[in-house]
Amino acid sequence: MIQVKDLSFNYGSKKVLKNISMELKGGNIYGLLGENGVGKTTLLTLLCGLKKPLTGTIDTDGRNPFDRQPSLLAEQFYLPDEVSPVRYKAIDFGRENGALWPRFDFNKYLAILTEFEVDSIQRMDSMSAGQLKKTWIAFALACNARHYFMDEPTNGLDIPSKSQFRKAIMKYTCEDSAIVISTHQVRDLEEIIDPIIILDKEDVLLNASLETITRKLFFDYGNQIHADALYLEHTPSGAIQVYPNSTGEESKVNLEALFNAVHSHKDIIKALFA
Amino acid sequence: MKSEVFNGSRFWTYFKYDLMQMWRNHVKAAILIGFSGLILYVLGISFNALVDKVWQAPNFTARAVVFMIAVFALELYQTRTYGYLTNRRRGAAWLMVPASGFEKWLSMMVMTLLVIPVAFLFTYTAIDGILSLADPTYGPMLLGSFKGALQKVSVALAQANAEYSTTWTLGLFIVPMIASYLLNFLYFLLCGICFRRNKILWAFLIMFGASILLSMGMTAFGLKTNYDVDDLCSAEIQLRAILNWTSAITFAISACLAGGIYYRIKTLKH
Repeated sequence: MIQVKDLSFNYGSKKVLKNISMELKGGNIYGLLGENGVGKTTLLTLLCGLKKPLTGTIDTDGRNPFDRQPSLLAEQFYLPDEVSPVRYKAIDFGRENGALWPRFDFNKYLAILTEFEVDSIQRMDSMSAGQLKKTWIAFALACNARHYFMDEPTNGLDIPSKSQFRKAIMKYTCEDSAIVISTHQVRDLEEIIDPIIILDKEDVLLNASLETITRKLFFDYGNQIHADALYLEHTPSGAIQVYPNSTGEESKVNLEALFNAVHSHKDIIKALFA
Repeated sequence: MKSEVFNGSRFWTYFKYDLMQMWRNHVKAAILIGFSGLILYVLGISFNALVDKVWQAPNFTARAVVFMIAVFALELYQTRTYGYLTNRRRGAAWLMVPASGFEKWLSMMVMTLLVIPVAFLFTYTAIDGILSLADPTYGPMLLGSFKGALQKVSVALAQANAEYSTTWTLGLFIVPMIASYLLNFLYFLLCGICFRRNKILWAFLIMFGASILLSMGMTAFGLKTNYDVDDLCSAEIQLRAILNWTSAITFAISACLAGGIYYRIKTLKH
């Protein structure tokens, strides 16, 4: 489990994260959402130990990620938004780099590459951005880590690849893995992410499971307009509205509508989920 | 339970990986720099054949100068070997590799101070040796002549000042040379992993700044103590002492640089 307590981080005089606290439990795929520049990547890099918190603590299974202890590094994987094109074949990349991760499964790596339709004998610096990203994703999943921190993993992937990515995440990660995925492409991932974390400037607006969200909010896809809607968007087939769930009725969460509702009514949402 | 600081099998796994990366990216460059002697030879032979119509290899001085330039180029190259650590993507990937900071540092030291210089020196010496055997106009091997060159310096010093003996040997110079080699390689390595851009420019700027400060300090010391510079060279024993002190200080600075590299690895953020 990852425990974040009163975490703050600045870039010089610019505050990015302020007194953030949260718990990330194994067995969940967290969707980390937020506008540009609110600190999603910063939070991910803090969680994996690439940055040192200004104040507060991060505790990953009893260890401080910034200590970068080999035992913790072997249990986690950080996949950045932009990955490096190395100057050798994907198969050699897996063989050489995989040796460093104690639980790396080379056959699994090849299997995922095959599912992703990536040619394992192609040099990685001659791959397209999407193929390169898929090679790194295959490598990450083959490491059999317990904690994954993925920054915009579906950026650069074509439509079939996004589906392959979702399937691979569900198929190839351990049941007790805590996966944090930062994304703007919520539609790509809304079938797999749960709980949802919405970051705002210096703050966490929402950190709740889909079950909690549907208990507290109702997503109405009908044509009848509600006066107390926190968010309303007209669509070709009608409208999407989000309003407090007063009846306890279940509904399907629309992540874009949720995100917009949370952003336009921050105080109401925080009070609702407090 | 494995130690979080050093574990033999983990280090060996990481070292093999690092060696492979070095081979792919930098050892080849060191070998290429090692070919500078051959390049000089080809150019020298061509020039002499075209201009003077004779088959004549470059003289010893030219070869020695090119060797010094090649060593200097190799030193500067240390800003590149691990320079990628300051790159956000590659540096982050390196930091996330499951090995301890100490293991990564140790491997870095072996690569910088052994693998790359040995690759260069082996290539240079091998080519030098082959040319020396194959071409009678080439003369003796450069490194083989090193001791002789030092003895010539000793004789020249003795002729200039009777208090110097001509018994100076390679042993007297080898320690300061090793100290200087360590200092230079570690200095450029540290600059490579500290500065994100213009690594060589920053390295030189700091070096010039340090030289100016050192000169000012020594001048101030001389003025304050009214020390006569000639006294420094008045006897061989004093010069030996100066060399020993210089080496000791250089080793101490090198140790500080190695410590600085370790600190940089431990505190590097992306």
